[in-house]
Amino acid sequence: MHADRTNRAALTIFGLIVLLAGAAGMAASFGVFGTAFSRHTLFDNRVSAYTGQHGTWLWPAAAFVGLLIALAALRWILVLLVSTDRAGDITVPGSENLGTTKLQPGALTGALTGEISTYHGVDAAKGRVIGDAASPQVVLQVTATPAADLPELHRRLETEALVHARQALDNPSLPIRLDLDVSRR
Amino acid sequence: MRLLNRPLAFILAVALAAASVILIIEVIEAAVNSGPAVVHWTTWYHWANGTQWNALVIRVWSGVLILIGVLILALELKPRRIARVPLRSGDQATDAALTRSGLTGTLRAAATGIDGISSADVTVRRRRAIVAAKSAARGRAAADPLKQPVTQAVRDRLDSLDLQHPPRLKVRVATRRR
Repeated sequence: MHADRTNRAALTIFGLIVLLAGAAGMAASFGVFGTAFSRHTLFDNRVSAYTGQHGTWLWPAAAFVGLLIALAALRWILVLLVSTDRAGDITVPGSENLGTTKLQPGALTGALTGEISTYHGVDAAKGRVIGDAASPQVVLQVTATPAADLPELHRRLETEALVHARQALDNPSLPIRLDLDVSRR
Repeated sequence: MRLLNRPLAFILAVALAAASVILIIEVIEAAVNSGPAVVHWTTWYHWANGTQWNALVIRVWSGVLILIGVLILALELKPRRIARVPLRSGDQATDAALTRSGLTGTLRAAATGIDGISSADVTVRRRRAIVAAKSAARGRAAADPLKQPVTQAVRDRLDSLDLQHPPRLKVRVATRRR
């Protein structure tokens, strides 16, 4: 899943900032920074004084940083809502004199899962093509029946189905991720 | 975890975007001396100027922030459960793996395939697989002799899978309770 690492990193940083802010507030409140400081009002400190004295350039600078944050946040929202990691049409290498052959990812995964479904011990097969269309990666999820001979199925998938996928794209080093599962029924 | 992170990330992104836009609007409004536009921040300004750090409200909100921070960090830093167990592959371009549930299912099938075993619970962790089988008959005298064949069957199944890093195996056979 795309954006998962970004989500985790951003949430971790946010959690850390919130925790530190809370800890600092609690420390100031209980006099860790001095009993006198705990009796000060919230804006009675050097940072607030500096902000008050340099507001003419500091607030526009803060607004500019806010603009950058807003743009980054909007891009993040777009990635979360509409982007996909699925590849577009794949160009199959061949002679340019004979024209260009484009392969729809669905056609490749359809043929692949159709073949795998006929293998003994296979309950279901799903596939998708992810990444850039120029350097795609095939992701296959094969669910075996509980009684299936998993080593044999794995061997057959590697020596037949995956080889056929690479032949179809004329790419012997096509990255393929294969997830083998076992059905519960 | 991933499913929970997405809505949390969405809420955080929307909050960041909204707060930033409000900040920009308020800075522009303050520059043209037309006062608060979206958020009545002057009220907050006067409140902060009149509230001391040792006030109860500061302690309560600091506590709330600490709690939220700890919860988010615990959620994000907790080690993820293993989702897939890599299989040896003949091709470097192939990333083959057995899913955790797949490994659990096949080990359970190996254990319950032994005569005298009625059910088995299997837990797969990063480095260890624990099989807790139950004998069909009651009494330790019925369960103890089953441990060796169950262990052998599960071990053989594990070896046959050709995992890159086979987990250590622990097998228990318990008697049926009633």
